[in-house]
Amino acid sequence: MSKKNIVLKSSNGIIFEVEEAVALQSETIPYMIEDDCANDTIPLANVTGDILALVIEYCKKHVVVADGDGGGSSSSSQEDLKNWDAQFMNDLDQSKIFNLLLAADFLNIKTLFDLTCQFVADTMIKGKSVEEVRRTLNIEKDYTSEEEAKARQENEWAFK
Amino acid sequence: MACDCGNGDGATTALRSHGHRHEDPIIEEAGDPSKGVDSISSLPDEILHIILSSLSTKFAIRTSILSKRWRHVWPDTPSLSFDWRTCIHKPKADSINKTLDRYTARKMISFRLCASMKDYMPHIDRWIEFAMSRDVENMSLNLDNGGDDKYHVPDFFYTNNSVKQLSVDLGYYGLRIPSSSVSWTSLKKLSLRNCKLSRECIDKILSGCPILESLKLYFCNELRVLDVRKSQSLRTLEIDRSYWAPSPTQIVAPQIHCLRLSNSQLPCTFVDVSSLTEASLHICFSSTKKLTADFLLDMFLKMLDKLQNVDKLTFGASFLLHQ
Repeated sequence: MSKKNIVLKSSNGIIFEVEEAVALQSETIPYMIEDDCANDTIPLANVTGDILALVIEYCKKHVVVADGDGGGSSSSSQEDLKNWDAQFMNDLDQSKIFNLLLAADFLNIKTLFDLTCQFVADTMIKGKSVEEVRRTLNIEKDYTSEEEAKARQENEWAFK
Repeated sequence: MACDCGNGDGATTALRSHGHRHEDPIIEEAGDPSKGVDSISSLPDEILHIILSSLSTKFAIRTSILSKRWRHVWPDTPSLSFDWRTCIHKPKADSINKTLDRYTARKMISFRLCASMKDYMPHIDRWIEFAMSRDVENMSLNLDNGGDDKYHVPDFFYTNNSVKQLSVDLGYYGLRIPSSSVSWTSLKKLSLRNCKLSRECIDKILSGCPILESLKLYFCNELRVLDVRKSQSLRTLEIDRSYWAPSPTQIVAPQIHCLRLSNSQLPCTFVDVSSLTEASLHICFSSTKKLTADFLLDMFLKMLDKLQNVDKLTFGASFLLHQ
């Protein structure tokens, strides 16, 4: 079985050559591959090299597991993959997480997109007070105190 | 985990196989963007809605006072999730009604309601109807009865063409199917927990779900014989029984491909499971039933005999023996 490689180029000119199966976890890339010039480089104008490296690391891990259990879902490999995903996300700083989220959205890699959204919700918003969320996400409060009180009053039960 | 960076990527491998996630010598790190920059507020609303969808509605609503940018984000989130079972400050039903009045999403992906009947009984039907009117796709209802035995899921609940996944936990209320019929035309996955089910009830459900693929029954009492032949489409059956809800004890499911059966305190007879290719059986016995080794062996052998075509069989067992 011959394995075809795909060449991806990041916005800052870094070249990545990956197996087709790895790249095809993106639902956007197939549209970018022209049948007769598949050896050409695919430019990804809004993904930087460091983020693309992360995307590829994720896709490689997931393609290996999808191959590994012969199509069935072995619970141990699913468990391993979950742990790997958690570690993968935990190692990233906030700027990378949001860039990864945008890259997963642009490249249309659903599992990575969902993973990133879930991570943001779970670690940056869930269980925190409004002030904690603002601090965590560096959100500047631009409400006046009256405006904030009014917004709070609309759904007061949610702040108890 | 890091070592699978290395295979087969030719010239580019070296670039990213050594700690790129920690050192990252490349260009853009200059100003350490993770400090002080608000990256989330510039995301498009569609992405923020997906992030908020995985939170309970309480935390989604809290984002509305983060800043003006966030004021109108949550009301368009296509998901509502209320869970007040363990709340100290249970919201008043009127407050929830006001919140729903301000909710703007036309199409809902998911609706989850976990609440005690005694607190919200007169309003629950209205909330279910609200979600159904927004063409909700995944609905999960966990309605604790709180000692009151009068509640019945309203008739309109049984006619719906948007719900694809439905999970119902009625805390031992009967699932009273209306005399007309059930019509859940888009339903693919159905999970019923703690529901009193009659055979007629299961027949009506299966007849009314033309594309149902998966049925899960957790602790559903009063159903001794589970016969799913009314469904053409059903392939996966998952049953969790317990000492106090040992039903069903007979399974008639010739079209099922995948069966998971857990915690069976009483024997279970596979009358017909001839299409099974995958089975996972977890048998749990307690000595209170005074089951002998011979009896168990005989039952296992009878079960195995019905699983001749199964490719993938998982057997688990636990035996609780008390002196």
